[in-house]
Amino acid sequence: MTALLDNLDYVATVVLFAIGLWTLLADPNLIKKLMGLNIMETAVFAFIVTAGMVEGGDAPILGADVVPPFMSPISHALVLTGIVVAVSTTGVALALLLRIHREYGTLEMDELKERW
Amino acid sequence: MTTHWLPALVALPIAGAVLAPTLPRRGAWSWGFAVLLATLGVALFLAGLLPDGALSYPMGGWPPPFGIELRFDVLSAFAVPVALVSALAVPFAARTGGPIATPEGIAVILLGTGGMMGFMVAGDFFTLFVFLEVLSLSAYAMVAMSEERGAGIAAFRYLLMGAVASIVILLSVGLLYTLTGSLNMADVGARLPDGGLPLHLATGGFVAGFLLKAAAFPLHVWLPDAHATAPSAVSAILSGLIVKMGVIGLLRTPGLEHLHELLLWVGAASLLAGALFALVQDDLKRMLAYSTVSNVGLIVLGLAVDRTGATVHILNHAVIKASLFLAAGAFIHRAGSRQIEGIGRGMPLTTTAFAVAGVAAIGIPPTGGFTGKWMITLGALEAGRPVVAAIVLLGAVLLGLCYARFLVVVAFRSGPAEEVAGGEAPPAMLLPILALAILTVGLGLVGGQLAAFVGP
Repeated sequence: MTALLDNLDYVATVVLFAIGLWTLLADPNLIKKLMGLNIMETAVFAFIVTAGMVEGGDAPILGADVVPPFMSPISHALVLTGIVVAVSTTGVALALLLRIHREYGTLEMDELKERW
Repeated sequence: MTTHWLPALVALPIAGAVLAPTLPRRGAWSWGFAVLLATLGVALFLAGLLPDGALSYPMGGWPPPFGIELRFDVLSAFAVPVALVSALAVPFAARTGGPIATPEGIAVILLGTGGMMGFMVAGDFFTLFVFLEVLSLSAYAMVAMSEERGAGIAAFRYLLMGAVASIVILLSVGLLYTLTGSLNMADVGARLPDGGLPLHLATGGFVAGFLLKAAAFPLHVWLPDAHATAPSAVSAILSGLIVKMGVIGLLRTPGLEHLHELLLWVGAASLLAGALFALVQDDLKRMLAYSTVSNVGLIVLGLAVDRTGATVHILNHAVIKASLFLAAGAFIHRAGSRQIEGIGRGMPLTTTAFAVAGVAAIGIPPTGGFTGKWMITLGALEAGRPVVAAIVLLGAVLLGLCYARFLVVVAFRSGPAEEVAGGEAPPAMLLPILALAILTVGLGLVGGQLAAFVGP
C-alpha cells in the first residue's frame, strides 16, 4: 500500500493508460477510439517525463552548485519527439476517418458492419 | 569502421520523397526508380564492407553512447532486398494507375523505404522508435492509396492496432531508459539489471509490440484486409518488407533469450493458423496475405531454435512474397477485376513466374524458400522439438495445397477473364515479376553462402 502511495505519479499514468485502452477497445465510435489512443499516448508521455525526475540528481552541464530539483533533459526531448509522432498519427487517422465517412456515411462501428 | 555512405542510406530515399511531389506527374516514377536504385547501390556497397565487421557512424561527430549512433550490421544487410523490392515496385505502381501512381503515391513509397532503412541502422532505441513510426505511417497511407471500397476501413484498423503497438514499444523504451539511464543499444545491453519486474515489463512490451507489427497469430487480424485491399505494388512492399521490420525489432529486443518458449509456440500457432486460413480463401490476394502470416510464424519460431535460419528466411521470403504479389497484381490488372479464372493462359511468362515463386514459398529445393525452412526444421530437431519440426512440415504441405489450387484456377479453370484480349502485362510490370522470380531461384542456389554470410 505504501509502495502505491509513494509512487502515486506512476499509478496515475497506469490508470490513464487503462482508461485510454478501454475507450479504444470498447467504444463503437471511431472518433472516440482515436481519442482513446490519444489518451494512451498522453499516459506514456507522462510516465517518461515523471521518470526523468531523479531525487538528489544534479544538472548535467552546470554541475552540483545549482539549486535543485532537476529534470533529465533527455526525457523531455524524447517526449517532444513523441508528441510530434502522435500528432502525425492523429492527422493521418483523421484523414482516413474523413474518407470512411464519405464512403459509408457513418463512423459507428455497428452501422459500418451493416453497410460493409 | 566509419563511412559517410551510412547516413546516405537513410537520407537518399527520404530526400527523394520530399522532392517527388514537386515533379510533373509523368516524371515522378522515373525519379523514384532512380533514387531507389541509387539507394540499392549504397546498400550493396555497405553490405560489401560487412565482412570486416559492423559499421558505426556517430551523427554530428558525437561519439556513442552520448550521441546518436547509426549501426550497419548483418541484420541491416536486409537493406539490400528492401531497396531492390521497393525499386521494382515503383514502375509497377506507376503502370497500375490510381492514387499510388501520382507523385504523392511515389513519395509515400520512398518515405516508407527511408523509414525502413532508418529502422534497420538505428543504434539506439529512440531512433528505432522514430523510424518505426515513419515506416508505419507510410504503410497506413500506402493502404489508403487503394481506390477499392473498404480500403479506408482496412487502413484505419491497421493504424489503430499499429499505433497501440507503437505506444507499447515507446513505453518499453521509456522503461529501459529509466532502468539504465541510456538509450544506446550496446550501452543498454551492458547496463541491464539481472531481472526484476520493470525489465520483464520492458521486454514483454517490446515483444508484444513487435509481434503485432509482424502480424503473428493472434495479433494478425489487421493484416489480411490491409494487404489484400492495398494496390498490388504496395502489397508486395507491405507483405515482403514492412512486416519483417517487426521481426527485426524482435531481434533487437534485449532479454529475448528468456522468451524462447513463448516465441516457439506463438510462431507454431501462427504458422498453422495462417496456412489453414489461407486454405479457405477464394481471393488470390487474401490467400497470399494469410500465407504471409504463416511465414512470419515460421520466422518467429525460427528465432527460438535457429537464428541464422530465421534471418535467411526473412530475406528469402521478402523476395518470394514480393514476386507473388506482383504476379497477382498483373493478373488482376489484365483481368480488370478480381475474377481471374483462366487469365494465366494468355500470360505464360507471368504464370510461370507465379509457379516458380509459389514453389519457393512452399520451400522446395533448389529455390530460396528451402534454405531457411530446412535450417529451422533441423534446428527444431536438434533442440529436441520433433513436434515443432512436424508442424513446420505440415505447414509447408498446407501452403503447397493453397498454391497448387490457385495455380489451377489461374491456368486451367475457364471463366470470364479468359475472353480478355491482350496477353502479357506491359514490360514495366512483367520485368519486375520475372526479375524477382529468377532471384528466388538464384538465392536458393547460393543458400549455403547466404547462411554463412548471416551466420554467427
